[in-house]
Amino acid sequence: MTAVGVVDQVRLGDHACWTYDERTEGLDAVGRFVTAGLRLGHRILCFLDALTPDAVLADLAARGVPTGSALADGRLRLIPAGGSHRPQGGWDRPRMVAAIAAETARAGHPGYAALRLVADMAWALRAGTPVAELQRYESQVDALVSGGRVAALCLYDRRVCSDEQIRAVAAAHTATAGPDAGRRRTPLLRAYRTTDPCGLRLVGEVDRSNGDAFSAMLSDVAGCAPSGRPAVLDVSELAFADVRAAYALLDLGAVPPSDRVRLVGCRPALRRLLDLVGQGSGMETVGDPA
Amino acid sequence: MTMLDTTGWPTDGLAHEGFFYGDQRHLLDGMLPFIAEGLARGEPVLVALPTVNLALVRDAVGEAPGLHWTDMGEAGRNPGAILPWVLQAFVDRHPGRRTRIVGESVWSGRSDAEYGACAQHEALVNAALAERGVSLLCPYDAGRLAEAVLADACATHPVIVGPQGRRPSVGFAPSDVLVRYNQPLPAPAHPVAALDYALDTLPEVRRFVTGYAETAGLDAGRVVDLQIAVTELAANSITHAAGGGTLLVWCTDDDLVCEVRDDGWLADPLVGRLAPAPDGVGGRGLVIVHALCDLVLLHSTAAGTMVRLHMRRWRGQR
Repeated sequence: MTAVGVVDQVRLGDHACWTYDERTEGLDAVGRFVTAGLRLGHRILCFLDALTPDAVLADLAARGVPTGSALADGRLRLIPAGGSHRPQGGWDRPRMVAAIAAETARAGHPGYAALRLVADMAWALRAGTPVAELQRYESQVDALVSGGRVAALCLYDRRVCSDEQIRAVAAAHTATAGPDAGRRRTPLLRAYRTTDPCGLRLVGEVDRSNGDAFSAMLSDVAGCAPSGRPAVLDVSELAFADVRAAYALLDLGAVPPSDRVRLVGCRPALRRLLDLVGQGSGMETVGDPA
Repeated sequence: MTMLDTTGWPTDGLAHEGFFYGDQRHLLDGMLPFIAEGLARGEPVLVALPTVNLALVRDAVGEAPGLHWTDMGEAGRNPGAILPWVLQAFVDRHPGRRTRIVGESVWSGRSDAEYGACAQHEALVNAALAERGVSLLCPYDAGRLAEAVLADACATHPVIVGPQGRRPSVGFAPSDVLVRYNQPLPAPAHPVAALDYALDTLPEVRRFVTGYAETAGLDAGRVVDLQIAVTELAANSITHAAGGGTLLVWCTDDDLVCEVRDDGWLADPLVGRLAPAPDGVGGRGLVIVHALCDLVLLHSTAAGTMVRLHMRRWRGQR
């Protein structure tokens, strides 16, 4: 088996992109993700396609994981191609997002377990769905997952999409990995939604590989804050932010004199980077050069 | 001796003149009337000189409203930072007003590598600020700088002020200078560590440089600066080149050096030399890289691009 350590590291609030070259690698990732979910008592919802329900069940059986009772009581649901989320077989983003949103809304509340979501994206790619449309979908999933009660694993088959498609879509995930990523990798960025005050606690790193997911989560949190009160971003555990992330914060209004978003725990390096991008954009008056 | 003729500057468009001085007396003779004329016209004036000259001129001129000073030895240690972070920044801070700037970017003691970047900088000024209302006077220490440097200055400045007076530069050819200094970078003379990268290994690029940066003695803030710079260059490779590239790292006695190689082509020499408009995206990253590093060298052709970053190992703590 290939090393799929990062799959074992996916936790609630993570939105992971898993790319694979062989079907067995895809099945391996799903099998590990589902196994961990069953062990933790999560509800598991798998939108499948090229990786069929039978193949996933066979993989779980080979791992010695019993699935009978979980399938019977609905803790594990394997939805095949042609299932209810796409009755005509074509890509239907609003329907897919609505289905995930409905599940997400219940997840983690009293009486409901947290949710693990698997999306085998082969069908979307096969339907010729434009990259921008897929990015929009993944960004919407970002917003749903960042609530911290859902873990999502999206599977992309490298054989049916171009490198450019992979790059564009991967950046909308907080973490991206493939079979060659190795065991030591953990998801690059984690975001935990806070409610009082409304905001996000960001843990990890932001760069081009997950920058679109970062931006999507920022827009979402800025929109959720009550009017007149800034959303609060706790960046004290954000170990790295790249130039684009700094621009995203600037555009969002996280830099004075704007007060739409308030940063808490800003490290000196990020503060300095924000000052630089603010100067470069002519948005902030700099001091006398003397 | 006669007063050097550094007055009578135009009132619209870019004026970019080289000023060849023989000694400190000449320097002052040129600076004082240039600064005084700007102040008399109500133009904001920026004097950006290397440390010693800055002290000299500042002592002689004193302070005045609208007169600003910058130590070019610090702000311009990376020649690629001068255009966006010294010149453009000053012009942008005075929207709708004509500005006047002294900018000494070349001095004896610049390394050969730095000098090449200086010559490119001087050549790029003409295009970069063509639409801006600014009078820019660039002092050159003719007593100490090499003949070839002064010849380059004639090629990058449309007008030269010197002992023979003020005259159009017959050898003005800034694009020739850009070509002349867009050369393959010399092979490193120290052991090199290499790492190939792609989108899903961007974080490893940072881990990789961090180890070398700490060993080289960079303080924590500078290590983050380098992480940001290298991440940016690698991300550019992933976006614009064939999805990835190679990172090389080595250490000299004075610098930690990181080089990114890919098969992309930065065809526009102004990329990274101007802060983009607020709605612009291109070049945002490289302009920040110029601000963070002590020297940025670039060689780009249709066959590929290499960008080399230097971080001084012994700079004072920030």
